[in-house]
Amino acid sequence: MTATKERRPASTPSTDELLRPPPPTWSQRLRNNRWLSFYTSPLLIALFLVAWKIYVEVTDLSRFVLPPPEAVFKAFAAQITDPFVWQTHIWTTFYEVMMGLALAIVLGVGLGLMIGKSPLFDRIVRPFIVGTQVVPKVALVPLFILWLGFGPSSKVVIAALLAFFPLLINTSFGVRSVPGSMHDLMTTLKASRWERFWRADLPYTMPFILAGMELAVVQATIGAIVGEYLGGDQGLGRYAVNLQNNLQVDKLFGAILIMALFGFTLYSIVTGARRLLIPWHESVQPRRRP
Amino acid sequence: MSAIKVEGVSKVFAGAGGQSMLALSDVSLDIADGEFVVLLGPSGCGKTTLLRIIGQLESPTVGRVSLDHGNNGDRPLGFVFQEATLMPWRSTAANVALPLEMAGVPRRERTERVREMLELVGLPETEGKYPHQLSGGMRQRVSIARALAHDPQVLLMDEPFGALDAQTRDMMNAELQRIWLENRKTVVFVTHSVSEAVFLADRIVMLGTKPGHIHSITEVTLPRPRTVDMTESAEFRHLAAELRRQIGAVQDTDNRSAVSA
Ligand SMILES: Nc1ncnc2c1ncn2[C@@H]1O[C@H](COP(=O)(O)OP(=O)(O)OP(=O)(O)O)[C@@H](O)[C@H]1O
Ligand SMILES: [Mg+2]
Repeated sequence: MTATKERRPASTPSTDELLRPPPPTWSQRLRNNRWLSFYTSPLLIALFLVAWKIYVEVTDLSRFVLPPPEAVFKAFAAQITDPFVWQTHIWTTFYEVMMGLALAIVLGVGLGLMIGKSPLFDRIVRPFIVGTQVVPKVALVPLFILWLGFGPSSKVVIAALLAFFPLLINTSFGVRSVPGSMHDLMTTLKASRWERFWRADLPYTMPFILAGMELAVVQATIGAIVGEYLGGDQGLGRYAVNLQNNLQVDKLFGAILIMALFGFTLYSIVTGARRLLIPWHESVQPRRRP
Repeated sequence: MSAIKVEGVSKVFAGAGGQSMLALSDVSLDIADGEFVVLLGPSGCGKTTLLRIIGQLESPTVGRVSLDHGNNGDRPLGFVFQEATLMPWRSTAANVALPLEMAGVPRRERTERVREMLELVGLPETEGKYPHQLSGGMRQRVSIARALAHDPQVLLMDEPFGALDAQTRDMMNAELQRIWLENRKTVVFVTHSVSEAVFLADRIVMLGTKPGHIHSITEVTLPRPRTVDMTESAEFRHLAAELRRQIGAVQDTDNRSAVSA
């Protein structure tokens, strides 16, 4: 017999059966569950709060060192519903972070694109850019406050100074990794410089810019708040200093919680922007492998 | 009238550590308007390099290349790369539409043309898919659709069907011949495959290695349109056998020179 025998398993599944996704395994279900952190996070937080409460009770700590969780919550609830906190502190910090980010994007992405495109320009300006980063930036804060005053503008500059570097590095790296074949394609289509940039370089670099944004948004928040700590009249950093001076420790914890939520919100906005701006990118695709 | 004129072209690549290598040596070639020329030769003989020089993606170290687009002035070429080179952020349809966008074709006409092209390469239902959702062969076919979209007069193709299975390849070859018979583009087509070369070519330019040079030029006078059945004919097989012998000879000298070196 020369004919190749087709071997079939005892029961061949029909096409319909194959097209139907297989029932996910337990671990796949866990991994693919988009709401996973909505269950686990509260659970972990609850555990943490219980541990906190027990610690305070057992050791009988002073309320000025570590208030019990419920006191912090009461303070936080009062703060978050207080229009004064929103208007003077949260809004001020938000404004500083946003303006700082805007400045950092213009500078960081702009310079990053130029550096990425021109190795010559890179060699000329890089020492100065690295210079702005190796100087301990916090040490520059008093200087900016001296120059620009206690108002928001000094914090805007500090936030921008911290945020622009990750943007610059990521952007220039992205532009430089545009594959040569992409440029070849544009050349065969007789693309102008502008078309080359707009249709190949920029979309290719977008995921890199957004990765930079994730870092930048955190850095800008740190920059603004540290600026306020060291010399400000408004903002969440200043608010924390005031509470510390008044020994309102429960409210100080509340302020820290507000800062955390503030940073978390901004960060979520950036990750959300990923899905919107680069839906095609691997990092946004559902994971195929564990 | 010659559409592409390659005159005394040599190409030196500067390698690592100051070691440079001669990839092409004194290549001259005249390609007539509307001619279908196939570059054939063993791997590494400089086919891609020559095609890139013709497409002005690379400049020759010595010699010159002139491209006459006829009355089309500055119209872009159609270039099919050895790898598909699709833009991952564009859907299939948007990838095919790229040359049309750049030529300023209005949107309506564009979608029409894109649909036509995708049908031509046998991928009508993939419009909305992204490149990473396609198979390698499908990606390559999309890149062919893109190269044809703006109806370029000169078409340069670097092993465009290398990633396809034999049947699809036969079908694509027949399609390509049909398109070419319809409007006689000037085509330079690179391949390893002898039968593909004989099936498609007016002229087959055989390149030899070390350094890349023109080994021989063979006219293919088989009548057109050629069909898959014709590949069984005596004339076809005779020609293919002769070309295989030549490739063997080229590779042999290559091996010998490698041993003596
Ligand atoms: N950019 C480059 N830098 C240095 N050497 C190169 C470069 N491009 C090609 N070469 C060399 O030139 C020679 C010819 O390469 P080419 O890509 O033209 O071969 P090919 O005939 O297209 O081969 P294949 O059929 O495998 O695609 C090879 O030896 C290769 O190593
Ligand atoms: Mg090649």
